[in-house]
Amino acid sequence: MNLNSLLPMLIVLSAFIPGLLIFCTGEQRLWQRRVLNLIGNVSCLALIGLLISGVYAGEVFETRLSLLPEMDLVLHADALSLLFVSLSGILWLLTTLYAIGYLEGTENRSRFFGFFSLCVAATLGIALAGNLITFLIFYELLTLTTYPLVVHKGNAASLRAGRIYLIYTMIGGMLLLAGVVWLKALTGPLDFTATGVLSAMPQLDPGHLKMIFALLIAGLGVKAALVPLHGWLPIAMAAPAPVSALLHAVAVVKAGAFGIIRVIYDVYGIEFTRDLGLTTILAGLAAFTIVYGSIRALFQNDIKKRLAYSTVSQVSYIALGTAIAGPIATIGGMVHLVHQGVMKITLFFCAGNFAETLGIHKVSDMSGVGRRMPLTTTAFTIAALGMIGLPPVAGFVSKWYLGTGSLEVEAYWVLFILAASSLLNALYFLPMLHIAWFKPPIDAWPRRQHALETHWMLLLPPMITTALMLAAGLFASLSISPLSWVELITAREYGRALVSTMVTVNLPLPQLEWIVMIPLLLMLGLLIPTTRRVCIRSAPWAALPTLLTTLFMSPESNTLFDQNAQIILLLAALLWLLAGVYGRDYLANDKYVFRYTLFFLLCMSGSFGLTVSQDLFSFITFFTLMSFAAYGLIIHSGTVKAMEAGKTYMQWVVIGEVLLFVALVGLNIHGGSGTLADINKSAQPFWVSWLLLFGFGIKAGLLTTHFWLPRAHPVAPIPASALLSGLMVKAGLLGWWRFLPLGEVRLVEVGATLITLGLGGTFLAVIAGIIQRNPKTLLAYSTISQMGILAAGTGVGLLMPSLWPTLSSALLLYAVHHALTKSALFLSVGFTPQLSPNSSTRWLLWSTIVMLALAMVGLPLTGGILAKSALKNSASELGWFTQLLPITAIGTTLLMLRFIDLMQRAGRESTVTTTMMTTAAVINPRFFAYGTLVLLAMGTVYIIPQAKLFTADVFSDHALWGSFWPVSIGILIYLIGRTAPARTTPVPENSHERCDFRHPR
Amino acid sequence: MTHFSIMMLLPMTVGLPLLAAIVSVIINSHRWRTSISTMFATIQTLIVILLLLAIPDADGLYRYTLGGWGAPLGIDLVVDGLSLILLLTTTVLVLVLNLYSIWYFSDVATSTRFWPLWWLLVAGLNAAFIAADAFNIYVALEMIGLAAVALVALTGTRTALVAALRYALVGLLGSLCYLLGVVLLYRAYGTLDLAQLATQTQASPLTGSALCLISVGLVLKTALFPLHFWLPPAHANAPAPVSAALSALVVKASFYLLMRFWLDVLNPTVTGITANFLGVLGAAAILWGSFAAFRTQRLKLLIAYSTVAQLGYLFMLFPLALTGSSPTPLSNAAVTAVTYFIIAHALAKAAMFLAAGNILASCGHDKIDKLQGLVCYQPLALLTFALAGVSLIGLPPSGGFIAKWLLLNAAIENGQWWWVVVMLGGGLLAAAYIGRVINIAFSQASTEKSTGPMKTVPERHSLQVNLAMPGLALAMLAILLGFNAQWILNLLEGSIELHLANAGGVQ
Repeated sequence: MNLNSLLPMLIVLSAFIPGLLIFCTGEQRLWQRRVLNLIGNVSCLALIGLLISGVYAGEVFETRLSLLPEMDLVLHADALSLLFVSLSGILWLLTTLYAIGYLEGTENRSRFFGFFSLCVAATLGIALAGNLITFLIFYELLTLTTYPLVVHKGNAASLRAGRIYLIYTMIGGMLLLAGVVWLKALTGPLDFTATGVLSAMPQLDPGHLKMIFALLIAGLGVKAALVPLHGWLPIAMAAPAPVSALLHAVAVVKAGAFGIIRVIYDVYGIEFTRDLGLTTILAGLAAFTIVYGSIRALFQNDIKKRLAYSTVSQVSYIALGTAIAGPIATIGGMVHLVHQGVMKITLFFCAGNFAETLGIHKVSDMSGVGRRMPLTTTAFTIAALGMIGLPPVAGFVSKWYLGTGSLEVEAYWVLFILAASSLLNALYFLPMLHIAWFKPPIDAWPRRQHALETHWMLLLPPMITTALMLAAGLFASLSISPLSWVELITAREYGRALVSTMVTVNLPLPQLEWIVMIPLLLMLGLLIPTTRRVCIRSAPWAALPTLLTTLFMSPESNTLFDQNAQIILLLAALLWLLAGVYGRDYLANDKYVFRYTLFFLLCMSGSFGLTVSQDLFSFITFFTLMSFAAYGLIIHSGTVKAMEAGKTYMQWVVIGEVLLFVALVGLNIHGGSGTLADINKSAQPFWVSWLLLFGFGIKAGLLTTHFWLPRAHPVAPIPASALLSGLMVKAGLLGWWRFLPLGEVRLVEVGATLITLGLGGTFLAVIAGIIQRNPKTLLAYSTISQMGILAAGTGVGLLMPSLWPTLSSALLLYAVHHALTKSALFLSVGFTPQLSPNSSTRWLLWSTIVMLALAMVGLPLTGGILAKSALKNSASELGWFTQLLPITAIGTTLLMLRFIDLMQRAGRESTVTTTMMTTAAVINPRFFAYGTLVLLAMGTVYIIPQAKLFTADVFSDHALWGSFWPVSIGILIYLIGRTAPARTTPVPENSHERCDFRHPR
Repeated sequence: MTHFSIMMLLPMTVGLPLLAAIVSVIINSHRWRTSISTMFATIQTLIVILLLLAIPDADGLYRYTLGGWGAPLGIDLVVDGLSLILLLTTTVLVLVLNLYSIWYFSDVATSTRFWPLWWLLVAGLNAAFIAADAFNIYVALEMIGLAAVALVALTGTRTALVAALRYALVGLLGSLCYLLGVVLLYRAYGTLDLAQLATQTQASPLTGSALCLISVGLVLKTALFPLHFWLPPAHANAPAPVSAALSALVVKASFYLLMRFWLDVLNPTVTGITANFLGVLGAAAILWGSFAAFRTQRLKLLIAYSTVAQLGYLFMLFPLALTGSSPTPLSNAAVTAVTYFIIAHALAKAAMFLAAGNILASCGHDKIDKLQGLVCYQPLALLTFALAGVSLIGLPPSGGFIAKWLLLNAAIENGQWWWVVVMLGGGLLAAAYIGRVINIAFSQASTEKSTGPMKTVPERHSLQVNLAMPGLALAMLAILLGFNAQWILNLLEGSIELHLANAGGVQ
């Protein structure tokens, strides 16, 4: 026997022997046990490393031990087993570390660690099993070795859990045994081969094979917790946290899922299974399980139970991916084996930390835990977001591949399942995060006993797994990532090389990577107490490198980075810088300035990132980052109103994410992968366009999906509102421009809808806005109105592709103009006290506000006129559209007049301190930022390159008259309307959820 | 020539235990008695191993004629792969139980009574496995029966005496039936030598009724459902090593004989219906025995009922071996499976009874419901119980798994899937009754733990590792049996039907 034939056996023994030895150690021999554990762990990992390098080199590793004639115990290393073996080995080490910390000072630890190692040995055996019989042996061994772990606490709950666990798994084992025996009797030895054993034997009776398949899947389904065989899993939560972690992430649940993969791919062969018609049934079962588990999870208040139902749901992704039976879906399923493991183990580690350190077991008790245990809660948050399937966490990669794979085989219904599951996941995870981070603690926390937030052994494992899952998502295209490994396996199974569907493209210029990284690095600096103050102070300047890079980059230097994007990036950099400077002053004395800065930087990174990203993955990653981080800005004030607004915002964001996920998956499968420029947008099917329309429409405040906007924008701190209204809504616009086939294909329905909703929004928002009493709310409605024009312009582009080249420039101008002006208007609201009649600076301020208002309505010599006339000219072929544009200006005029009115009223009512009345109050960074923005809002539009197309028209009589008459009519209407005693009540900001305040938390 | 000298060892397997029985009566010192017993047990194990080694290819039937008289008058001993394996199982178990008994019967009075009876039992068992004629088998059966009854009554408690008495009556009834059958055979064929009978047997009413009587007698002794009623009290009330031997070996001896008669000696009279009938009874035994085991309140009773259930599996042999297409029943896959089952069950069940004995001794009772926290103060006993349980349930990797696997395989290959359902169901039921005990053992006695009676009792009776080790060794053996089954299968290839091997006997 040479090393190659011993290695698989040695790997199993490296966990088995320490297990046996640990049984023999005395209860008090702490170090002896630790050393044994460590030796086992390390030698196991070393052997796995050896194995991996060997398999890469093409060597064959197989241990064969004869049990009976034609029945061998085979341990064999192939690519699939390596995946599972490495996962088990790594997570074993982490869980052992965690368990040592968790069980410190409790009884029966020798027993615990002994069985723990045996359990891992069984898992390793399952991973390496080379035929069904070996698999069965280790599968049953796993049942036996986990039982003592489940009942470890010895109380009534855990005994019940153990009993139910045994009942389920024993029945499962028997079914599996029956299937294996039957199959063996029919076909002889059942070695796993790459293309399946059975597909090579055509003379078998399909009826028998179907029944055997049912037996096997039922047996495996018990451990994989397929509904209706999942009953044991939520109850098994009575076990200690490390056990739950291991059970859910690696050992038991995964053993079942892994077995299903083995049966389908290596015993039956995927094509044969499909021919037998078995995959559809399995996929249906898995889909049902996914939805059912998520729904059940919604109603659990016990943290671990909620996580358990989440496992029920998530593990079925693996079965689903396997059963969809396309190569890409297979990748998604298999890679989820690893990804789900890492994410779920993190969640359980964190849940254990909460329970162990603070005694928190219920979701409702998690209030404020984020402040007491920030690291743990961060890990929990990232893992939970990954479970929902948000990029860039590993869970997204699995979902992406599942989605693409299901489209590849035209199983559209799977997309619905994925979307529903993501929504449900968000429904049960996001409230937990909200409670943990943003609610005040119920009672005083127990006294700290450790230097860190908890024992370091409890803290380190979740940190590592968090890093792992982020790495697995971010570096998915590296050759050492689980994804690449799985692609290799799948290529072998399907016998051909596959096109990877997730391409991450490096940015063409290294400094573009830096502009995204700098805010994130500052954010990290924020987390370290010593550098915190510096980071808070320098937060706005994180936008400076972007500004400089964009300014001095010649547009011709690269082709990937188009001119429009450059302008938008420049705009973003300016706004982030100025709003940041403003905000630093505005929130200088705020208690939660740390939190504000954190989300500010995250948002900034997302905003820059989505503008410069060159591939789908990066785009959606940064889009998500920005959307989610904005939540923190919106609810900053912590009032009931802000919380409610945040909730509404989050609901819409999640819906938007789901719609976009589906849309982008569809785009990917039909348009190909690669850089954004390479994607064939015209190939997108109609439903992708619709989903894009509404998915980005949510962000852009498109009518019918705008409801969150007038609630969320006003409640945020002023600089944040400015950014939200000025810049972040433009992300939706950018999304449309990037992904809709503008200028390529004529999409009549989509275009018409966009125009209708856009113009509808434009007019209705005026009506809703004019009766507001809060100037910020009014501005929010104004944003809806203005975004409506941009949306309608985009719609024109869809309707008439030939117009798009000029139209796009015009829309860009309009967007830049609106962004600058609207941000400035929002910032002006912060100066309300200085507007009071007895303030010495009020004239200066009033002049700026009026200038902004004039620019907004598009009077001559302002930026507004250029934007408007550009839009009008470029859409001149569409007569009625150009006719409508001036009428929108009437609405804008009304809103602006009302805004000035409201500001005046607010200034009159505000209480003024003496310091504010002096000129010194004006000479501060806040005013400086505001002033700069006002100046920019006046003139910037003229100096951007795209403006050259239109400047000639601006000074024509026609244009001047065209901009003048609507404003006059607007003023007239307003004056008439104002004299009438208007006693209307404002449309509440929460117009669609009137009864929401009944249960303020 | 080598065979000649090796075969000389065969009668020693009966002679040595008899000698040991006599010696242990004579010797009065506890220490000497036990050491000599151990020595005898070791020697007889070695003898059997030597015999095993001597028949490497096992392609023949080995016969030894005591005193040179020869059939039909003399006492002939005959051995093949099958009987050698059973001999080996017996001797190994006897050795281990012997060690256990040394520590278990430390009190001199019991010890004096135990050892002679024990060796008499062993002599009877060995004799039953190698006897070559039907009457000698009767003698062996009587030896076993008498010794076993006396051993059951050893503790002298009322329940034990009642159980022993019932056992004695049943045993006698069984022996009588058997004897009657043998008489009929002698009337029909004029010989009692099994090999000669095997060649002459034809299906006739007389032979049929002989088979019927013999079967009833042996089935009664094997405690097949519904004739099992005597077994649970007898096995449950005997001292631990005795229970172990009874469950592991004694019932197997009569089953072995049944196997010989049905598959080999009287095979021509057997019909498919009768074979299936035995199979149905076996299935009923599996279900009923398991159910009763699940319901019972006492640990030893549970194990005894488990024996009833496990014996049911053995009877699957008859439908599988006799109604299939195989022309030579004894080399059938089902025989292999059942033999394997016998060994696995013997090891596991003996281990389980020893563990139960330790638990009984340490807790002072064996009420299942009151075994909370057992895992903390009797971990080794529980481990033994659990490992043995794994084998009984038929979970891999264990001897029980291989045995069940072979049985299932045989059933599927014969197309008799209904037995598969029964066997798998039986496994689940076994898991249920074993899981019940383990579940309770893992619980922390919430109230008792703090007040302490449970905790102080085991401390006082804290058993030496000595007492735990034999059981654990047997349980481990039952597990390890699952890892290499090949050599046993090779040996079983050599189990030869007597009528075929008549001429090839070696003196």
